[in-house]
This record gives sequence, C-alpha cells and structure tokens, in this order.
Amino acid sequence: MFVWEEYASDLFVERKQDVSHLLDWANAPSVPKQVKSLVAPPGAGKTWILQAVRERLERRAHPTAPPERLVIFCDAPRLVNREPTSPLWNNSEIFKWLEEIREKAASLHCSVDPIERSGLVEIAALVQRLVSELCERCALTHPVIVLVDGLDEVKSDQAQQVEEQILKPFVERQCVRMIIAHRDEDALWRGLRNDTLRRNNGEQSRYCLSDLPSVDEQFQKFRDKFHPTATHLTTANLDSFKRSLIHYQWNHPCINAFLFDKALARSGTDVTKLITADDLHDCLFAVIERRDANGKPRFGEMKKETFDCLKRIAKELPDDWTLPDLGKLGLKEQDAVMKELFGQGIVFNNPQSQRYRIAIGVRELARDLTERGG
Amino acid sequence: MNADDVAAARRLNPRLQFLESIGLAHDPFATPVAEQELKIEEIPPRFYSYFTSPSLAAQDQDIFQWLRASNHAFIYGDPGSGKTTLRLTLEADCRTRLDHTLVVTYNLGDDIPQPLSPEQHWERLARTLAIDLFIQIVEQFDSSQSNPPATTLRQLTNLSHCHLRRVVNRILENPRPDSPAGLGAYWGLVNRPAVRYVPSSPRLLDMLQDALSESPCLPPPDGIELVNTGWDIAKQWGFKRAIVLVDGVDTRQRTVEWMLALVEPLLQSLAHWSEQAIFFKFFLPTELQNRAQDVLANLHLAYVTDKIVWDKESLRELLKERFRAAGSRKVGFDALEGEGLEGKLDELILESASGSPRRMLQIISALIDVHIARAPNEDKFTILDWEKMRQDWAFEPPPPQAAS
Repeated sequence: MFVWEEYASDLFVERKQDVSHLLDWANAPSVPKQVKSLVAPPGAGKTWILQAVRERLERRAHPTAPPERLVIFCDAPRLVNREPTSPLWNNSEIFKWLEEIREKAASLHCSVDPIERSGLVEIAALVQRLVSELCERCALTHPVIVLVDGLDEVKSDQAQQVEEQILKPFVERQCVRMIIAHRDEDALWRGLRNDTLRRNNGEQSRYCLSDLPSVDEQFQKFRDKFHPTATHLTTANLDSFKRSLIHYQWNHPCINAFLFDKALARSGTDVTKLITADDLHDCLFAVIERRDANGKPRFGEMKKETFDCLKRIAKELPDDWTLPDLGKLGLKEQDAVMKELFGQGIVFNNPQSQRYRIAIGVRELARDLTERGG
Repeated sequence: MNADDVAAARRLNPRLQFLESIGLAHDPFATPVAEQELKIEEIPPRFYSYFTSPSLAAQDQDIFQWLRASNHAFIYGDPGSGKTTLRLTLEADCRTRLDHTLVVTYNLGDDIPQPLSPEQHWERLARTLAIDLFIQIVEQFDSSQSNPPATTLRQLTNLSHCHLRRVVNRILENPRPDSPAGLGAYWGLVNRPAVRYVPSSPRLLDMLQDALSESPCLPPPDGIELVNTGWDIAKQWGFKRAIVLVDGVDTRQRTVEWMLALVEPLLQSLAHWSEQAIFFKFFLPTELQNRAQDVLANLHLAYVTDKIVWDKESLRELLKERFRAAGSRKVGFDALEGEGLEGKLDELILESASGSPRRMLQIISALIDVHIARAPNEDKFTILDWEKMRQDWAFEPPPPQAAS
C-alpha cells in the first residue's frame, strides 16, 4: 500500500538532470558564489534531491563503508525546538548532529577535537570551532558540501538564528559550499535572511527544478509499486481522469501521487468518476500541510478563510498578478490571510516577472476545485 | 527597543503608523546617509540587509571580489552614490569571510581640522588598526587555530590608547549579553558595527582577563613603528594580509587641494605597505580622480581604479531590497499609486533619482512626509503629493521631475 512519506523515492523525482547539475556544481574547481539555492514549490521533491546529491557525493562502497567525501546534511527543523515556550536550540539534537559530522570527518582521516558538551560553551562557538578544524586542520581534497533542508519550515526568527549561528560559520570558510533548498519564492525575499549568506548567493546561484518524467511513466511506476493488482488500469484510463481535470497539468509529484492513489484505490468502481471534488480538496490540504522529514507538521492547519482566499485568487486572477490586482479583490499584502499564504510558501513573489503567483500545481488544482463548485 | 516600546513609538509617530498601514514593519527610508542608518538601527544593524550592489564603470566582475583582491584600489563616486555603504559592506564582508584577512577602517572624519602629517596618519592608523584587530580576534576566536599569548591583547589595548579597556571590562562584567549579536553588542563602545554573532567561551574570557591584569596602559611607540607593531600582532594571530579602507576624505572640506593634501602621505607610502601585504582601498569623491591619478602616475605603483555607477535597474533593485528588509513583498510603489500617478510612480522616482541612491531615498522620504501631512489615512500617493514634494524640495537641486 502507498505510504505518503515514501511516494517520492525513485518514482517521481528521479530527476537525473537536476542531480547532475548540483553534482557538477559541487565538484567544480571553483564557483562564483559559495551558496546555491535549490528552488521548487512545496512537495516538488527538494528533500529527495538533496539526499540523492548526498548519496552520490559520499559514494560509499557499501552502506557501512566510509564516505568518499565530507557531506553535511543540515535539517533545520531538527536543530530547533518548535514549541513556543522552549529554548531556541534543541541541544541534544545539535550535539548529536555535531558528533555525526565529527565521526564522518574522522572516517576521512580528518581529526577533529571532541565536541565540548559543557553548557558554558555556546552552540555558535562549537560550530565555529568545528568548521575551523575541518577547514584548517584537515587536508580535504574537495570542498565540504553542506546541504540545508527545511529552513523555510521553521519560524522566521528561528531560521534567522539558524542562518546566523549555524550556517554562517560554514559560509565564512572558503573550504565549504552550501546548497540550501527553499520554496519557489524570490531568494532575496524568503530564501535567505542573513546578509552574509545573501552576499554569497544571488540570482545566478538559483537553480529551479526541471520537469518531471512523463505522467504516463509516473503512473505506471506508481501503480506497479503501490497497487500491483490494478493491472487493468492502464494509461488509457489515466487519460480519462487526466481529461477530468481542466487546469491541472500533472506537473507536481506530490499532487500526482495523491491523485493516482485515490484513483487506483477505487479502481473497482466507475473509472470516469475516479477523481472527485473531495479528492481535490483533500489533496490541496495534504500538499499544504505535509509533514516534514521528522514527521512533524510543517505549519499549523490552514484556516478555512485562508483556503477560500486561495481559491478566489486562483479563480479570479491571472497566473501572474500585481498587488493592485489583488486590491481589486479587496485584499492587501498585509492581510492575515495573505500573510498565511505567503508564510506557507503557497503564494510568493516571482523575481523574474516581479509579479506574484500561486505555487504551480496548487494554483491549477485550486482552479479545478472551484470549477467543480468546491 | 522591545515590542511594547515599538508599539508606543508607532502610536506617537504618524509616519510609522502610515508605513505600517502599507505593510512596512519599520521605516526603510528614514535617512539616506549610510552612517546614520547604521546608527539608528538595531543590533545587528538592518543597514546591511539594504545592500544592493552598484555597478562599476569599467569592470564586469563581482564588486567584492574586485575590492578584496591583494592590490591597492581607488574607487570613485559622486556624492550620494553609495561609497560609504559600499565601504561598510565590504568591511562586513571581510569580517565574515575568514581567509586570514584583517580589515581596518581608516575614516578621515570631521575631527580633522587640517591635513595630517605622515606621523599623525600613522598614529591614527595604528589606533584604528588596534581596535579593528581586537574586534576581529574576539569575533574569530573560536574559529582561530592560532594561540598567541595574552600579552598581545595587552599591547593592542595600549595601541588603542586604552579605548579597548572599556570593551574588555564590559565583556568580563557580562559575557552573555542579551543580544542577537552576542558579544558584538559591545562593539558600539568603540564605534564599530556588529556584523556577526560573537559567542563567548571560557577560554576567551580567561584570555581577556589575562590581558587586563597588567596596568597601567603604557604609551605606545612613535611613527610608522606604531602601525608595524599592530601588524606584527595581527600576524601572530594568523592574519596574512590587511585591507585598509580609507573613507570620509570629503567629510570636512570638499576642495580638491585640501582632500589631496589629506591623502597624499598615504599615497606616498603605498609601495611600503604593499611589501607588508597591507593593501589600501580608497573611497574617494569623483572630483579628486584626476589629481589623485596624476600623483599616482609619478609613483610607478600597481593599483586598480574604477567608478561607482547606478543604472535604473540597480536602483529598482535597491528599492525592492528596502521593501523586503522592512518585511514587505512589494517590489515598488505600484500598489500605492493614486490619482494622477497611475502606472508611473516608480518610473518617476527612478528617473528623478538621476543615478543617485541617496537622491532616490530623499525623494521617497519627502513624498511620504508630504502625503502624511495631506492625507495620513489614505494609503495611496496622488499627483498632489508629488507636486507638493517637488515644490518643497529642500535637497540638492534640481527638484524631481514633474509628473505630467
């Protein structure tokens, strides 16, 4: 049976072109900027790509063998406490993370001092010392690669501290390159808040995920893996429910997986009714409220008025719109509903057109939902 | 300022109230002068989040890469073209890129009544070098693999004319200040901005304690030796080269002769400093360009030179950055165009700025003030605001162009 968290593995986000672009960047003798943004809408497979890059760069001979190269995976939500009254840092996870880096470095014959666990030493000092030892004491032949995920899933003030105290010490060193995954929004606005990280990033360092494999291919792979008994459903049937959606282009892996699963689960019934308005509604909520890599909710539940606002914008505004366009709907950028949509990365400003838009896939699905009166 | 103070200030300040109503969390147009922006904002300063890179007239490469090269450089710019902003951001960039470069800010500010002799330059330079070196040692303490004795910090305190003693005392009194900059919160005591989070560790505090233990402050040596002493200490701490940022040449007087006399001892010494791996970056007014180049031509030195330029696209980017830094997703004023300005306010602002970011910020600030005086509860600017702003224009002439 389909497990939501596993949908991506090798089925939908097997984007060889993207992975090899990032590998080329990581392996290049020199790069213009040390920080690269990996940009994609919610649910498009950023985490999977980062993990694929890590595996390829480490290239272990077997699972327990030492890696060939020092790659550090920084999952931002893991490092902070997300409960409002807790201290900022999740110290036990940070110590574990630093220890993992130290062990990995040791397996590459890079001797790093033990991580001091005294409460008198600040986290930033520990990170600075570790990075200094990696860059100055170890004769690493390739740059250390730091892969950052989930930065836009923690609160803004937490992300600011993660950037300042954890990520900045890495970027201050020439021996490090960093790839930061974030949502499809202007990198200058949301992707990075920290001035040092932004100076080392910039428009030319922004990489957007390329297109997915064909929807037919995705469908077949999905059916074979999660619904192997539904062999009577072929791409011909897929065509019928592709036609049932007017706007959605089957270009979002997370949405595709959700809809395939719904349709295939009901494969015994009338195939022309495989995708219902309720499915579209549930799918939108599922994409927006997906859990993170640690199984925790990325954001709070989306309020009904915010969801209604999303549908209205999708229906009444063009793909790219301006704030005056929004004003015509009686809405302002600083309204609570808009803040929620911006905060969840569902609506963003597009640096190319200097206009605003709803995340691709979500926009079209919302339009299909409103067409069906949902 | 805590959240309550901010809310109270807003209630009393119609400008802040208006800015809040159009979605700005603070006033990103408060002043067009870099050093003032740096001082009025919080720690760490918001100033750095405003930075937008200008272009260079003759270079196509990254401006920081160009400025950080190991050579002497002369960068010229008209008043308000952002020389000081660039200098301050370059300083921040050097302090947050740990490649064994010491960055020293040599500001020839308005406390200089007449051009300085070489000896006076060395004394001032040594003092500022000591302060910058101390700060960068503390900032990079946990990142440094060097371990020189505490006596080196004591020497720096002397070289700084004991200005650093106050900083050390404050750190030891409260090594964990409640500030997002950590120990960087204390840099204001010696007139330096906080550019990174500075943690405190028992090892650092022990060393600072040792540095204080001997008193009193001894008088430092004289002449160029002063600078050499400071640079020797820097090398013990692992610094391999220094970049000296010379700015503020036109603060006191703007006559070419006076400004040239002020920098000439530095120009004459550049060959000496190259041998020490100390490189000067001069941020100079455009009117000095020809005369300075004449002096340099006779010195047979290797150096690079260029001029700051702003095209409309860079200014647009700067405007967008200001909105972004103040928490808004606006990319310009198009959402705020009222009667008579529909579809043209951004263009009017950018055109009227005439390639000067300072002038652009002055126009915006003046426009906001006029609008608040006329219609504080309306969020759209009209042609009445624009024309009144032009009429009342109190900055460098000419006034911004007419809207019609």
